[in-house]
Amino acid sequence: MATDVKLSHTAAMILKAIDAGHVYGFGVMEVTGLPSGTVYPAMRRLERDGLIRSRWEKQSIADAEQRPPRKYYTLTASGRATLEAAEKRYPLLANLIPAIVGENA
Amino acid sequence: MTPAAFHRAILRGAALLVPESQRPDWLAEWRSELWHIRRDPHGRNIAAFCMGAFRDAFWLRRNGPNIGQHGILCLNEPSTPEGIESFPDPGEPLLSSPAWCLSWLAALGVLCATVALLLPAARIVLRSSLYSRNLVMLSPADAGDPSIQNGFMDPYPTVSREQFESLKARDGEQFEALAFYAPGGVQRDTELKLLIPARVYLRLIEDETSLAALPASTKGFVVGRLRDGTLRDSRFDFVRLPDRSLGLLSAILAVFLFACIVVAIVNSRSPGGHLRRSGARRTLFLAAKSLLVLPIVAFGTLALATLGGSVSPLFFHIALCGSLLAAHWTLADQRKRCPVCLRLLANPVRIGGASRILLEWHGTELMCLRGHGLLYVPEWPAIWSGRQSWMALGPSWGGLFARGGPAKTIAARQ
Repeated sequence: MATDVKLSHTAAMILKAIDAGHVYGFGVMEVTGLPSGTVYPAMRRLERDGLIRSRWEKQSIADAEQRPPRKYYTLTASGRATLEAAEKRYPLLANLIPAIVGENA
Repeated sequence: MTPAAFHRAILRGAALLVPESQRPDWLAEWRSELWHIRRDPHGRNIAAFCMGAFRDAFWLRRNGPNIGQHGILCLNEPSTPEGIESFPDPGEPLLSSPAWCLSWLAALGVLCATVALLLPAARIVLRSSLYSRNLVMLSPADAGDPSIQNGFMDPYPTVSREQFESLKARDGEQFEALAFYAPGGVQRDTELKLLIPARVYLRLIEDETSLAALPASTKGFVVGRLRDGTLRDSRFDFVRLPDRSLGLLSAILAVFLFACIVVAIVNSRSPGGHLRRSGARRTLFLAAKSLLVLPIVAFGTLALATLGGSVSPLFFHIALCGSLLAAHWTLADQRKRCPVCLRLLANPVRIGGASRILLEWHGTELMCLRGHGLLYVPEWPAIWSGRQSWMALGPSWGGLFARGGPAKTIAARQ
């Protein structure tokens, strides 16, 4: 089912950003340049469609760093397959979103 | 208010739009993101970031997770079995939830009050109502009855400017306020018109300079507000002016109660069977709704009646119509609610047709989306089905429901 889903360019960018390691809403906003009012509803939609899943960071990790815990998003298997299809549709997607290394996700 | 508090307030405001079951998680995520964005070295526009929360909240409101167990999409929202939720599920009518309905009524009441207070004429009516207690008209003891009480005769001015000044000097401490009205104004003073039912043109002498400019023998009316409700040891007599401090509210209340009685009598001829199964919560909800509707009627009527700049002679006609409409809505809304969870019934289904099954039951069936039961409203009242009837669904229907009560599945999610 997942590969049949046709993503808009915005949704594809968000999916690509998550895949690239920008695993929370603010990170996705930063790398895509999209406003919060676009990013968060789009991530809800992607999660509803089973392309991404969310999990809360452990409280102990956040406490150790003296900050509130974050909600992290990761791609599901369907999401990965959909992203591959989207990358064929939008070939420049990979160039738009740089991958990050060493993200604690 | 500090910027941080302002940003948190925006998020809390947006959170009200999020379905209650998702609200804590949603708020925690946005607060966490806010914490991080405030420490962002690139200096983002935090207020713009927070305003995006409204779009996110609206999306959740429209597309809440109606997904039940085993991927079945249910009409009702699976959530904790804690009774009534404060906000309606997506897809339900806006006023479906009782808490949401009361919130809207309260907001509408505040809106009507604000509009009424913005209109100068309405403000004068309210202020006159507030300050009309212990208001008296004074005249010298030897001047006789100023004849303002019977309403048939116009009063005549009895107090000269000189007498007014001596009254202020001698008895001024017994009054909270004293005012001198001289005849000859171009139009009647609006406040005085509300207080004195007479056909005279007067102008208020507002300051000492204007008063001193008048000839000493100029006669006028003196209106004062007594401190203790009585005047002691004075050379002046007084006549009490009508106390309107509760007049407006009591008039509206009386009209509203009258409207309720009329509507209830009219409705008693129509089907209304399940209304009699009123529990305490149902009664309390009806009472709360009526109490919240009352200020809407009062301030709405006042605003409409004073739109033209003065109190319309149709004030009580407008009040009566508004009260009838409000009472009708209050009772009609109550009849359309589930007696258990007080949510609006939904999914009306027409059963039968008079032309086909004349002697069988035909009418409309409504369902509680929480699965508490079905309401049957007959199309034509007959001796065997004269009133609408409520059929409660028992626990045996629980298997069809996502939350311990009956529910109807509408589609299976692929």
